[in-house]
Amino acid sequence: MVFQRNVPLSRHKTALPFVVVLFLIGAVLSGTALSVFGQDPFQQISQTDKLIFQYQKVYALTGVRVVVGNGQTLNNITIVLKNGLIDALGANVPVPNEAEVINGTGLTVYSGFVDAHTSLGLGRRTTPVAAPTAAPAQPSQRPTTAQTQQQATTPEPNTYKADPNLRPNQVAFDEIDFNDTNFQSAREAGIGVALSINQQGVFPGKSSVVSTYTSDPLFGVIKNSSFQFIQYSSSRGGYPSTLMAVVAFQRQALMDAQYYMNLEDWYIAGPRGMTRPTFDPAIHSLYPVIRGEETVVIPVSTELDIKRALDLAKQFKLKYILSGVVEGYRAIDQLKAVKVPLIVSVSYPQPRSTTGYAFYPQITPYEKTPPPGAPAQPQTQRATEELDKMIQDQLYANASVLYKAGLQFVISAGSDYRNFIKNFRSAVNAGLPADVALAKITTEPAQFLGIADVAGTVETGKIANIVVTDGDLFSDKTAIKYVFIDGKKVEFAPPSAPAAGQQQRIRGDN
Amino acid sequence: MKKIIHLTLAVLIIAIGAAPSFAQKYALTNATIVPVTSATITNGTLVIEDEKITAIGTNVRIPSGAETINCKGLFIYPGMFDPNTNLGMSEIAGVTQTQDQTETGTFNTFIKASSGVDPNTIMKGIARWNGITNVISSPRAAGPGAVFGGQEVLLNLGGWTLKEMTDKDPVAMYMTFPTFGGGGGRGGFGGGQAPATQQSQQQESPRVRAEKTIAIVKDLFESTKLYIKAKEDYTAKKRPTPPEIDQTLEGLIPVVKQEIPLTIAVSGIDNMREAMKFVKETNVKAVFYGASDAFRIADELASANIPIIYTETLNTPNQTQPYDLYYAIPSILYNAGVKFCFGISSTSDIHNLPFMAGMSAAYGLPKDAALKAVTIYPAEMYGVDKLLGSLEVGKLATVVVTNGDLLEPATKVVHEFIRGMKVNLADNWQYQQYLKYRARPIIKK
Amino acid sequence: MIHKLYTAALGLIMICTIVTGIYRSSYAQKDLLVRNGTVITGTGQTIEKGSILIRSGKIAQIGTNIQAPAGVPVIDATGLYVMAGIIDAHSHLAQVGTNEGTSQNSAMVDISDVIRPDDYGIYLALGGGVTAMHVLHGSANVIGGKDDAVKLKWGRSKEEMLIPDNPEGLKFALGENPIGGDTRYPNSRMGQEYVLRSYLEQAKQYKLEWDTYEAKVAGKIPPANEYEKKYGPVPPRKDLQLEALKGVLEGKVRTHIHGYMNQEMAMVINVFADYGITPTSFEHCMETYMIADELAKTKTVASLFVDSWNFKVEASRAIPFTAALLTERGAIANIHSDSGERIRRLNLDAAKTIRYGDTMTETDAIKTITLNAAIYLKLQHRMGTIEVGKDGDLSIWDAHPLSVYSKCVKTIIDGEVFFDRDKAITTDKWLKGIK
Repeated sequence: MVFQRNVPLSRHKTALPFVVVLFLIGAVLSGTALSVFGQDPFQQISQTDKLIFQYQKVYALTGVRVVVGNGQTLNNITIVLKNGLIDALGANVPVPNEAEVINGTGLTVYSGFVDAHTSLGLGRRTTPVAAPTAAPAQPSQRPTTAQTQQQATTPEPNTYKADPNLRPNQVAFDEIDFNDTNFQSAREAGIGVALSINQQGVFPGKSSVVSTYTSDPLFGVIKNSSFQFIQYSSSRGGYPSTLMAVVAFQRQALMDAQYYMNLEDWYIAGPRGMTRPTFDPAIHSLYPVIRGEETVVIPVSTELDIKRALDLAKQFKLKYILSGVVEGYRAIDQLKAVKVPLIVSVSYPQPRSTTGYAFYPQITPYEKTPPPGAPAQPQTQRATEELDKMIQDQLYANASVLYKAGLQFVISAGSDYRNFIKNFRSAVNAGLPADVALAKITTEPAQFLGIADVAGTVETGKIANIVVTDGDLFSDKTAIKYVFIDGKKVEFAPPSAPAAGQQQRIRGDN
Repeated sequence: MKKIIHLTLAVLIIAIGAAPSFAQKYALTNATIVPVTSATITNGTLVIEDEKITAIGTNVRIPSGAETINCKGLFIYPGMFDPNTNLGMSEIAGVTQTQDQTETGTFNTFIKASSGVDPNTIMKGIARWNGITNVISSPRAAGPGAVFGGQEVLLNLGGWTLKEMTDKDPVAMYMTFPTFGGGGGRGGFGGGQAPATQQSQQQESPRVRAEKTIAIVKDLFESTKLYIKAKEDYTAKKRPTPPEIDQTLEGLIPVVKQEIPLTIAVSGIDNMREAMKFVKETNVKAVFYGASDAFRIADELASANIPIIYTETLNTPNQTQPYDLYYAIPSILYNAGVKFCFGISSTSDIHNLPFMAGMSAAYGLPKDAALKAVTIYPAEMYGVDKLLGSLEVGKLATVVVTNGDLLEPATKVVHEFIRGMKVNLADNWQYQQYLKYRARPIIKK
Repeated sequence: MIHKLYTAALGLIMICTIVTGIYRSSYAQKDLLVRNGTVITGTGQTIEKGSILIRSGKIAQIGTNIQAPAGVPVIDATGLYVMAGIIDAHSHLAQVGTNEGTSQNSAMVDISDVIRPDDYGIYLALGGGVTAMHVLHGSANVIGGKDDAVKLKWGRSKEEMLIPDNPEGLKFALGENPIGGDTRYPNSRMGQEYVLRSYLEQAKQYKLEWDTYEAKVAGKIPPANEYEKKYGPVPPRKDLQLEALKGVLEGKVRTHIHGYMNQEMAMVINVFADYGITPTSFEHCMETYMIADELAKTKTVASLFVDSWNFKVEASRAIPFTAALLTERGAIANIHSDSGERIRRLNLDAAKTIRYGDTMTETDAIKTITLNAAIYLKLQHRMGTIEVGKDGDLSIWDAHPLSVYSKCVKTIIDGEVFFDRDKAITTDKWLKGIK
């Protein structure tokens, strides 16, 4: 049989022969895999088998309300998901025979959410790409005399080779573990597309845009290489270990990029008489950043972080985006002055960790101690309760304040998937208009990541990422009933599921 | 012949007069005398004979043979008294071999601080140069679970040997009150956990363990009372043999007899209330040490008549507290009628004792109360006020002569007497270093 | 047309307001008159019933009967004592992270990057009359990092706290702390000297490379060969770590060396002399009394604890008479806190220098916490005494500041009140239920 692209599978009288052939192909493949990797044949076969089954399942939701994402709302619609795409969408769309039909009366369909800054699948990886040759001594190691002598004379931090903090030539995709359970948390929050980058490392490299629902990396990539990152967190062990050292490290690396870029240019223009410049692949991949050709994302949280990042960007004339910005409202003038795009996290910090918290009076009012024998009174923290509530409201209103200041931004879950919808609603309740907020987790991040053609709205031909709720997304009473990502139905973990880290759910089950 | 006799007598008299002896007489004249327990006397004279103060006033008779010291422009105070220190048992804080203040064990009632005090510690010369004449050196209870640390000793800083330095041994018994768990108090030291019983160490709540510990202590007290009776019976020949010596009970005899107080390390309201209950039930004398949050139950402490050694002046308040809290707490205690004094446990900081008192005076404590809190109050709290703490005829002549207010940091001690003996103030290792390097020749270049 | 003019005018007004607002808010400098107090200028002069007029943050006039110009707020200091704001030359408040101890030379790090203005310790320091402090790297390695000096403008942003024109300083550390507990090199004072010399030597080499390059660019040195003549000289790589040390060699960067024992400090004086520089200050420097004359000669400021001692072995020979001895021998003694608790009572620490020794006067004592700290920071032209032209940084006390019975009642920075005991929640107000 020859499968032609314009012959929809559903028109076959029966899908069974097709399915059997695919099963056999899968069996052959897994057999090959078995012989190569020596794994349990049954597990291998059944995983591919289920994947194939999952991938091929067709879904149709009938009678739903669809919030398209382009301003339109359609009522009483049938939507068909097939081959990982939104195959059909309309009032009179025929439901394919092979489709699992879901009665969507009373349900609303939104486009699956796009999170422009996560570290999904990138756990706590800090392994450098290659084994270091002259590594700076860790306190627990006992260095040899030769090593220590060398250390004394050579400046330790200047070893770029395999420095886990200087990997701008690294691509996140190479290290993403698609079986990480955090992906499930993201899926359950409705996030179907995520930009992922390692949280640790000053220059962790380029991020990748991936689907949140795949177990096979080959199927997971949407964009292999996306924004470059410069961060304020270092990889474990060695220099830099403190914030001030990270700042110095950033400066030195960017200075070096400028320097070696100039050297290369000069060498090309006039190599005779000039010592051949060193070539460090890591520094080399920073040249576009220095030239302002490549945009970098700088994660920041607090007001002080924001100011630090602005200083860095100014010093090196970077083209940049700030991400996180949970205290953006405290630096609104500075942000307005630079007008850079932002990724705003709704993972709110604790009020008492915000900048300037200490400026507020917090003295616990004096209360006469009740005499012995009297029932113990709980120590009231009246002073800080009100203060915390006030700061909390300011944090919730952050997105609204940035919006009213005319700043361009998208919204991210800030790696707190469990509370994403709740946090998102807090932002809306605090003043961010609902339609604006929805765009900032769908169409705008899709544009931002350059994938607006295939993501961000509920339109035919786009990736089948949808979130199905039993009411208006912004209402506290509304729950998410279904999530589809790449056309696959997400299985929600039962409420009493054990903590993340345990592989409980087997995809394709039930 | 007569000439020879007269000559010999004259020589003998001169020789005797010139020989240094402890039994000297001094008259300190033209001074501002601050007795502490009575009104200040201007242009007064204080007379020292043997170990005692024999006269104070504006019109006193100076005994013959007394050395007169003109104290015009100077002030005479009683020497200062730090009631809980590690003097003689600690040299360099960072070096454990020089820290000798704790012994392993839970009920160390027989351990004596005086066994460990080094009478030649350089801390002695430094402390008395700064006007501190008496300290109580106190053992500490070692680690969590320990209850009794040992017997405290009252020392004067004038003696050359331990025997000469010891004014009263024991003067108190150091105890750490077990924590009863739960909230109600801020942190602080003191309050160890109850010792583990054989079975249920893990399952017991702190409260249960603490209650068991207190029960053991009360039992020890009861046993001590019977032990005393047995000893008395033997003395009165009512029994043929003495009771077998029990060192633990021996140590508790003066406590049970109310001859010496328990210095109880406590912290937090709950802990203090339990300790007050314990003191009432066992009918012992007690002083609370540390006592964080004491100001919150000041009236209860006042009614229970339990005095406090206050050590928190140099704590840093957090943002939930008024910024001057630790300077002001002594005034709260004072106004509530709680007897208290100041204490600094580390002898390398002991010179700050008067300044703790002075700072509290800046923040509400009456100046005379601040002065009393480093002199007569601690003496009263430890039952030695007949000997020290103020300038009164009949008390030991332990006095300091200063060029200013005793509590001021710019003030210097000019003369000092401990138990009637004139102190060589220059015998201060730090001062000697100063003199040595002052004498370094200046090389003109 | 009218509409356009109207819009333009409105825009202009808005721009002016915004510009003024920005100008006003950054580095606020105010006007203030402090009247009728006992003014201890710190230069040896005490003015009874004295007044100080501050204009735009600077002391404009000092006298006995100054009338307040219109609109200038007045503080009545009758019965009170006024002195210059206390400067703490060694503090670890207001910083995020103290030690980058992962290598023996972290001179590229800069405390300025991590100053945080919302450390409650700042408020407590204000309550003790402190107006400015030097925020330093810690003592975990031989060469630590760059520092910063801030004014304690509680409630303001970091930018407003930084002292303008403050020269950079670099922290060094010797002795027990950088040796630490592990076996990492260097493990002795001998190794520390070697590390110091080797980095200064590298810095000297680095400086030579840069000086040569700049001289070639300026035409002062001929090109080395025909290629340099054709294409120009190739600049050396800029290295932040060696830049800091280059600044030290050029005398532009202050050096603050943590040291306790006499031999390690004498070592630094000798090593620095080989490079033509003198140390700006020694920190803690418990045994400087043994080398007082050497410090007097190099004009190195001894920044001390007044009476802490014996907490570790290298502090066991410390004496509280150091300040007096140094001052007598012509060296400069400064008293610091290195503690969020001690910073609150620096006035008493200064008073102690009178007790410990026979030569310190009141003025000498006050200088240890004011002028000498300013000299330490090389900011004596603008801070440290009450003199016309200097910054309006004052502390007001209800008794003589060197008395234990005094409390600070107001702390003023650049003519603005940042601490006022009348407005603060004190314990007695707190007990009465006032929030």
